[in-house]
Amino acid sequence: MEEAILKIFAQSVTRYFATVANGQAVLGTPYLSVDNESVAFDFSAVIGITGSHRGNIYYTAPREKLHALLPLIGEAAPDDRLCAELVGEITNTISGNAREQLGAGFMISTPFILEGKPLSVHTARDTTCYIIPVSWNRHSSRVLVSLQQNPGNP
Amino acid sequence: MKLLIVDDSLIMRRAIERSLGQSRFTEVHTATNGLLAVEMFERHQPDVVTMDITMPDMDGLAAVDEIMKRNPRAVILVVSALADKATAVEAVKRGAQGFLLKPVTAQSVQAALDDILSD
Amino acid sequence: MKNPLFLIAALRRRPLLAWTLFFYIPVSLVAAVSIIGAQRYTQKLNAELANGQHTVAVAGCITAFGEQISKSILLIEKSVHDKTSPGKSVYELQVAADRLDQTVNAFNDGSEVVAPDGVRFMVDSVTDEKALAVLQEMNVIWVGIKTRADAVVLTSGPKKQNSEGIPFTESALSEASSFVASQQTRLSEQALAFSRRLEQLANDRVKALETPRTALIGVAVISLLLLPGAFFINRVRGARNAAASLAAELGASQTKLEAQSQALSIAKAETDRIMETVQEGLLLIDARGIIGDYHSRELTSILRQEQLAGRSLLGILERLLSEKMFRTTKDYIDLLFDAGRKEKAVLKVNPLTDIEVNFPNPSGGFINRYLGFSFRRIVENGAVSRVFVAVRDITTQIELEKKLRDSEQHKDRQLDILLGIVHVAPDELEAFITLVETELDTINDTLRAEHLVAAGGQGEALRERLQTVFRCVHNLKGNAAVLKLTTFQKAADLFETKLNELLSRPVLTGDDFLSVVVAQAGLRVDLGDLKELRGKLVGLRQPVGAPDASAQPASAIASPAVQIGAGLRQLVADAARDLDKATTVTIDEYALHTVAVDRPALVRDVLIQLARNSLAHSVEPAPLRLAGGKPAVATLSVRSLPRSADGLVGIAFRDDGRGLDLEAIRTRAESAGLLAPGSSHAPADIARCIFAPGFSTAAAVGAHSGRGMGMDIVKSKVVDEAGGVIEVHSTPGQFCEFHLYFPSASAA
Repeated sequence: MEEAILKIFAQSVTRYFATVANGQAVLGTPYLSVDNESVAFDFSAVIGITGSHRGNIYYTAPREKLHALLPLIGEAAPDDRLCAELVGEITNTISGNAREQLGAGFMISTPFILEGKPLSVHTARDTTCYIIPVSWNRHSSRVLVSLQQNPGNP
Repeated sequence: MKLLIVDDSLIMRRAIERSLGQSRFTEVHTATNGLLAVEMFERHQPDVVTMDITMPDMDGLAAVDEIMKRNPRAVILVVSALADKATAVEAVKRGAQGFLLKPVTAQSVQAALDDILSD
Repeated sequence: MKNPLFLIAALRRRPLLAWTLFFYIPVSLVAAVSIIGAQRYTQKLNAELANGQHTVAVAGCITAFGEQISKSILLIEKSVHDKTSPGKSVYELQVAADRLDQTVNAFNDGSEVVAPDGVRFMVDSVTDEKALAVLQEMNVIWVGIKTRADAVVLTSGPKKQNSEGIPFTESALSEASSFVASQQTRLSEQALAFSRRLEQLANDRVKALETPRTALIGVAVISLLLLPGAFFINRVRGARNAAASLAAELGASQTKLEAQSQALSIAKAETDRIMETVQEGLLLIDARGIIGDYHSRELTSILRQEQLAGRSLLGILERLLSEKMFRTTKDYIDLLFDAGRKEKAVLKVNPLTDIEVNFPNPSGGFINRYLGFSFRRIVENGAVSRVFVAVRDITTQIELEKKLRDSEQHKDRQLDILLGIVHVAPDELEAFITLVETELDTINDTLRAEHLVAAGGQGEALRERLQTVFRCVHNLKGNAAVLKLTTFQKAADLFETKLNELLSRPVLTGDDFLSVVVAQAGLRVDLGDLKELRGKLVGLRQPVGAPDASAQPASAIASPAVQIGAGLRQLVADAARDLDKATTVTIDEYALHTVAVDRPALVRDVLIQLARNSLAHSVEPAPLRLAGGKPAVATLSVRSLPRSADGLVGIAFRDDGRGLDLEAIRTRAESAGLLAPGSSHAPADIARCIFAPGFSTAAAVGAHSGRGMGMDIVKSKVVDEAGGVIEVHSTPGQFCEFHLYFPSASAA
C-alpha cells in the first residue's frame, strides 16, 4: 500500500517538472527521516492532509534551484517572496494531483510556507516519514511524505 | 473584456495574467480566496473568471455556487491541482464551463480560455 | 341506558373471586411492572443526561482551545518581534493543539476524552448527518490551523539535536498568526453550530426516553389509585361497561361494512408507513434503471438527494462511484434484467455489497461513505419486469471491521514476536536489537547519500547501494535465524526477494527503491514492536529466571565465545534439519575466544555465514556421503591456528563436505563477467570469485542459502571492516577450510 502511495507522489513531482520546467527531474533513492534530523533547504511548504488519509506533504528546495526555476515560469526577477510562493504552489500541485489515484476523499489544506532551515518534520506518532530526493538540472530538492491511512477508509 | 483571476498563490495569479499576452482582456482583477472572489465578481462583473479550488476562507467550488447564484450566465474556468474526476465533474455540475488541471503552462491557459470563449 | 332490564341484571351479578382474579391481581402487577420500568428509564435518562452534557462540554472546548492557540501564536510572534523568550507560550500552544487534535479526532473516530470537569468518558464518533457535515468542515479548518501550530511549536521550541534550529522568521510567523486568527473565528462558528447540534441530539435522546418514562409513571399512579377506588366505583363501572358493549354490538354491522370498504386504503397506509419508517433504502427500478414511484423515506437520506422517483439510479450513481466501478455497475444491472441468466448466479457476483461513494459536501470537499446494495428480481410472464433494490449505509460497520482487523493483525504480529523472544536470553536479545538497529541505520545512510543523485549515469552507483542493502539484510536474516526470530527471518527473506528482483533489472532508477524504503520502514516497525515487548518481558521473566540465576551464576555472564558457540550449534541444528543433512559441530571455545574477545559481533556474523554456506553448498546429503566412503553425519569444526608471521590471531572453520566445486564456480563466474570466458585460470583466481557480491552457485534460493551474498559479507567483515586476512583451503570431495586472521588488540 505505502509503496503505491509513494509512487504517486514520485510521479506527481516528475510530471510537474516535465510540464513546467521542460526538463526531466531525476529521483534519488528514497530514505526515512530518523532522529528528527533537519532535512530542509531554504524554502519549504507543508500541506495538511485529512479525509481518507491523515498527515502532511512537504516540498523543500534551496534558493538557487528556485531562482533557476522561476524564470522558466515567466518570473524574470526572482526574489524570496516568489521563492516562497513557488514551493507553496509546487506542494499544492503535487498533493492535488495525487487525487487522480487517491480520489476525492484525499483532502488537502492550503500550503503553509517556512523560510530558513528550521524544519524538522512533524510526524504523527507511528507514522513513517519518507523522503524522496528530487534532482533537476543538478539542483537538489526533496518531497517528504508522512501519511497514515484513516481507519475509516480501507 | 474583463477577467477575474482567483487563486491564493501569487505565482499562479501572475502566471495566468502573463499567459494572456496582449490579448482581448483590457481589465484584469485578482482575488485570493472565495469570499473576495464573490465580492470582486459583483463589483466588476467580469466576462471570464479563472477559479482555483483549494483556498482559505471559501473554497473555489463554493465560490462557483455563489457566483452562479448571482449571475447564472457567468463564464468560469476552474484551474486546480485536484486531479480526481469527481472534482472536475463537480465543478462543471456547479456551473463552470471548463476545468484546467495544474500544473499549467501559458499555452494550456490560453487554449483553455479560447475554448470556453468560443462556445 | 336504552335497556333498563339488562342494567339491573348486570348489577345483580358481582362475583368477588372474578374481581380478584381479573382486576386486583392484574392491576397490582401492572403497577409493579410500571414502577420498575419507570426506575429503569430514570437510570438511563440520568446516564444519557450526563453523557450529553459531557459531549456538549467537550465540543465547547474546541472554541477554547482554538482561542488558546491563536493567543499563544500571537504571544510568540510578539516575543520574536521584541527579541525576548517566548516563555510558556510554546508549551501552552503545544498543549492546546494536542488537546484540540484529540477532541476533533474523538468526534471523528470515537475515543476516550477528558471533559472539562475532569471526567473521562467515551465520545462516540459522530453519525448524525448534520453534525457530520459540520465536523467535516471543522476537520478541514483544523488541519490548516494544526499545520501552522505544529510548525510554530517545532521552530520555536527548544532546539533539537542535529537541527540547526534557527527560529521562525517574523514574516512566516505573522502569516501563521493572521491565518490562525481568521480560521479560528470560522472554527468557533463551526464549533458553536456543532455543539448546538450535539445538544439537540442529546435532547432528542432524552425526550425519547422521557415519553415512555412519563407514561409508565402515569400507568403506575393510575393503577395504584384504581386498587382502593375500585371497591366504590365497581358497580357503576360494571353498568357502564355493559352499556358500552351493547352499543358496540349495535354498531358492529355498520363497522364491518366500513372496514371492508377501507381494507384497501388501510393496506396502502400500512405500506406507506413501512416505507416511511424502514431503516433501509428500498426501491424498484425498471430495465432503464429508472426509480419507481414508491421508495422508502430512508433512501433520500442515504443518497443525500430528494425527489428520487422517476430519476435514473445509474445517473445518481455515476457521480458517486469511480469511473471503473460505474461501468461495472452498469453491466451488472444489465445482467439483473437478463432473464436468460440464473438469478442465483447473478446475485452471487453483486459488485455493490460494500462500495465506497463520495458525496459532494455542500460546504466544500467531500463526504466518504460506504453503501451496501442488494437486489432481487421481479419476474412477470417470464421476463424481469423490475428489480427490487435495498440500500444500507454501512460506513460505521466497515470502519469498525477495519479497526478490528488492524488491531488483530497488530496483535498477531506482536504475539509472533513475543513467542519468538521468550526463549532468547536477554543479552542475546539486546545484541540482536543493536544489530538490527545498526543494519537498518546502515541501510538508511546508504540510501540517504544524495550527492550521487545529481550525477548522471547513476546506474552502477545504485547497484552498489542495492548490494550494500543486501549485505545488511542478509546479515540480519542470519542472526534472526540463530535466535529463531521467525518474524524477522521472514521479513528479511521477503526483503531479499525484492532486492533480488531489483538486482536482476538491467537499468535502475531512484523510484525503483521505493519498495526498498518501504521494506525498511516495515522492519523498523517490527524493531519498535520488539523493543516494546522486550520491556514487557523483563517483568515476565523475573520470577521464572530468578532461581535459575542463583543456581548458575556463570550462565548470566556467559563469555562471547560461549554465546557464539551456542548460537552456532543451534543454527547448524536447525539448518541441518531443514536441509536434511545431518551435521555436528565441534568448537574449540578457547580458540574462538582469542579472536572474538575484541569483536564478538563481527566474529559471530562471519561464522553464521560460513556455517550457512557450508551447509548449503559443501555438505552432501547422507546417501551421497556414504557412497563416497564418508560418515553419514557431517562435521563442522572451529579450531585455533598459530599466530601468523605478522602477528595476526587466527581460527579455522572447516567442513568435511565436497569442498569448492571449481568447475561450477568458473562457469558461474564467466557468465557473471567475473572471469574472461574460455581462457585458463589459476585455481586461486577461480576460488576468489566466491567473495564477489551477488555470487552464488546454488540453483535455488531458500531460507538458508542461495542469495549468494553470504561470502560477500564474510569478506567485507573480515577484510574491509576488521583489517584481517582470509585464506581458503579445499580438496575437492574432501573438505573446505577457511582460515580467518584478525589483528589482535592484546598483541599490540
